[in-house]
Amino acid sequence: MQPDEPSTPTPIQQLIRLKRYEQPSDETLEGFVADFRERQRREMLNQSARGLLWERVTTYWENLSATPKWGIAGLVGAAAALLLWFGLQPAVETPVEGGGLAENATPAAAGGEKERFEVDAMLISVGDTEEATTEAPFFLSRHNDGGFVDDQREQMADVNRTPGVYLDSPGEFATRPLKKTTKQRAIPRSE
Amino acid sequence: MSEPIHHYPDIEDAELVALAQEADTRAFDELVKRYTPKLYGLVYNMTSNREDTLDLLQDIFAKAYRSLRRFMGKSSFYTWIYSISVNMTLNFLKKRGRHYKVSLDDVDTGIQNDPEFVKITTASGGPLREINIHELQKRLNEAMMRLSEDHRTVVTLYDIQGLQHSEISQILGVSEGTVRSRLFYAHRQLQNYLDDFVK
Repeated sequence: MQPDEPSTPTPIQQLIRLKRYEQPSDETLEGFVADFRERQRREMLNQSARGLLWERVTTYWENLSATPKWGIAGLVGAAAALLLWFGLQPAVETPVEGGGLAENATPAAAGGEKERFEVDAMLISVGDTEEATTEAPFFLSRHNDGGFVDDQREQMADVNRTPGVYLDSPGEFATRPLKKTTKQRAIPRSE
Repeated sequence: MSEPIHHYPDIEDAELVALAQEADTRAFDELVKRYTPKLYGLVYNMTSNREDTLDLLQDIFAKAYRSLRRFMGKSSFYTWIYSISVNMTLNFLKKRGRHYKVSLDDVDTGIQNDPEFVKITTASGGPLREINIHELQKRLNEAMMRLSEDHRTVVTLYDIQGLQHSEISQILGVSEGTVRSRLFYAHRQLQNYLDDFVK
């Protein structure tokens, strides 16, 4: 059984109740509201813009009812996951007009002003890495042998024989993806 | 269009809360005015230090203001603000530890006319006849501070502030039985500490 308090106060309760007479002065209580207002203003001024933004976001979030709140959270999560997934995908190399690649094309380039590409830039995507590392020594040795320029010319001739594909210079040829050029070049050499 | 003119002291708590939730700062000021004396008594009797009490009260009202939008009106504002105050005071006491400075308010001279005080001091030549008010205040304060924080809370709310068991139960989030039990043991301890006054 729980001990219960009697309805009439005991002497010890009467004694403790005398603490009610300990009170702050009237000025203390009157000044308190003014102090509180001042402190609120000071805090507002000292709060950083980021802090205010965070407070607004959390307040907005708290005001949402339960269902839309978690619905929005789900949507945001799904969008973040999609963005992450696309971000981790290997770059797709799609030739575009002007000799560049779709992933490098900008609206300015598409609109008329030609994008300037680095001629020597090697465009190696994730899928090409292994092939590139095995073929790089071959190119280097071919270059040291003095056969690289010839190869380029030979290949230009091959490519130009393909309907609809015309290249003007070795420099332009060099902007082609490494994967295609190595295959085209490697086969005749090995024979 | 001009805003309606309110006479804030006449407005009920619930309406003041609704106005404050719509960014009416004067409505919240009225709530602060209304609850400062009550909450001051609560925090002061828990901490025994008036400077700490005023600082803590500022924090309590600031916290209440920031959380006001979350207040759904499931309990009364009275219960809600008391809960915030008790929790923040208990957290403060934990941080403060045992080393603190006592700083007491003056005792209102009205105590000398209080029937209870008169009764105690005149009853069968008790020891209170021989001590002055300040000594009594010191002894009562020492006895209160020797209680555990949970026991001190219920004694403050029930005996000094005059709240009902059911209200204390809501504020502390414990059963009424727990409140009664804590009170019982707290009174027993106080009886031991102040034995010479209540024989």
